[in-house]
Amino acid sequence: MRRPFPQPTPRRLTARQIDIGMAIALGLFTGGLCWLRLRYVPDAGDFRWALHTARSLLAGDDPYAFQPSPLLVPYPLPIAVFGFLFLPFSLVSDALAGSLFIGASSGVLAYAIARSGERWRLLMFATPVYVYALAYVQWSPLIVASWFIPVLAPLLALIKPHIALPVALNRLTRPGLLLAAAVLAISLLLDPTWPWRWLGMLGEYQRMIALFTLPAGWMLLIALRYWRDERARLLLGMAVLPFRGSYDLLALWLIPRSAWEMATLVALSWLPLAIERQGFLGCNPHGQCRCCSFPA
Amino acid sequence: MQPAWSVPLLFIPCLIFVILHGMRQRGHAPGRLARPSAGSMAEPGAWPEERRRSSPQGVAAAEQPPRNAETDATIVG
Repeated sequence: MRRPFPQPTPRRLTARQIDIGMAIALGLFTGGLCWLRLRYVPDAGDFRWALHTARSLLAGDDPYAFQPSPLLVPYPLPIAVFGFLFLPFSLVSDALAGSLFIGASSGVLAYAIARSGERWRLLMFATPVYVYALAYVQWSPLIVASWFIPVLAPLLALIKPHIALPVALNRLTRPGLLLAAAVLAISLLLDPTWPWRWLGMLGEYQRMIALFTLPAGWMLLIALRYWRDERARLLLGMAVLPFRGSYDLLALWLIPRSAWEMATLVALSWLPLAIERQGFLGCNPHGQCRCCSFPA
Repeated sequence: MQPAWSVPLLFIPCLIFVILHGMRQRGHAPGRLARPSAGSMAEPGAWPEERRRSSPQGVAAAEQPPRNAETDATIVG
């Protein structure tokens, strides 16, 4: 009598494996999109500052030895940490390093959102704010990821203080503070004068502050009443600190608490774009800049 | 010339979400009570399942034997 051949039981993927797969796929997709975009602008967007600072330090040059302008506003010295991480890829091209940075940031953000149990928050990838962050190789996706991975938050506040500080102040942990303190100490050992010289070059930074730019922007202070709520504190912090363009506002998508609120905010984010495309870019409300040359 | 205020307009719906949540927390708004989201309960750095495991209530819940619906049912009459 023939015994039936035992059927192998199909191996089921765990939730973690699915999340990792999704994050890798999204990272590859967004990194690829960024790569296509950077064919039009052959540099690494804002990530070029990380590469520039790392290269200058390796060559023994001064990373702040240039005349600042509205398009040339330097970052703090600790940005070199990320520059060193991606420098090997810049041997091929800066665009490749920038694309990999955006792909990695987006993948980490997607994984962190998925593991938080709020998968509907992935809708933030469908906003024009994220698209611009991708197109200009911005730090905001990684800053939003640090809401879920707090060890990164203080370090990112060192690199882009005016955008990362509202997130970092809600995510202060001992390991995160130690990491940031170590990076800050090393940067001061390399060049003890960098904070003053960097601050002295910020005069050209084109900025707006929501509290003062919005009509009746003072109403945002109503959030003070709910100061015990971490998301109210996040909103307040973002309202009082300067930002340059819409791509800096991705952290606003941390505020919705349900899929409905999220969907509403995503839909509303497309509205200003439909009304006035140039206005939504918002990188320079008083003149021309490279952001407004985004190819249609 | 684009209006500069068109960019931070997105702060307004966010403010409304914060106010609505605050009102629900205080029990002023009609409808269901606010269910704290995973993020809002977050110990910084902890995933939800780790948070559940690390909290005293979570440990107690995990150590309890599964409840039996038949024995738990209130006997009436």
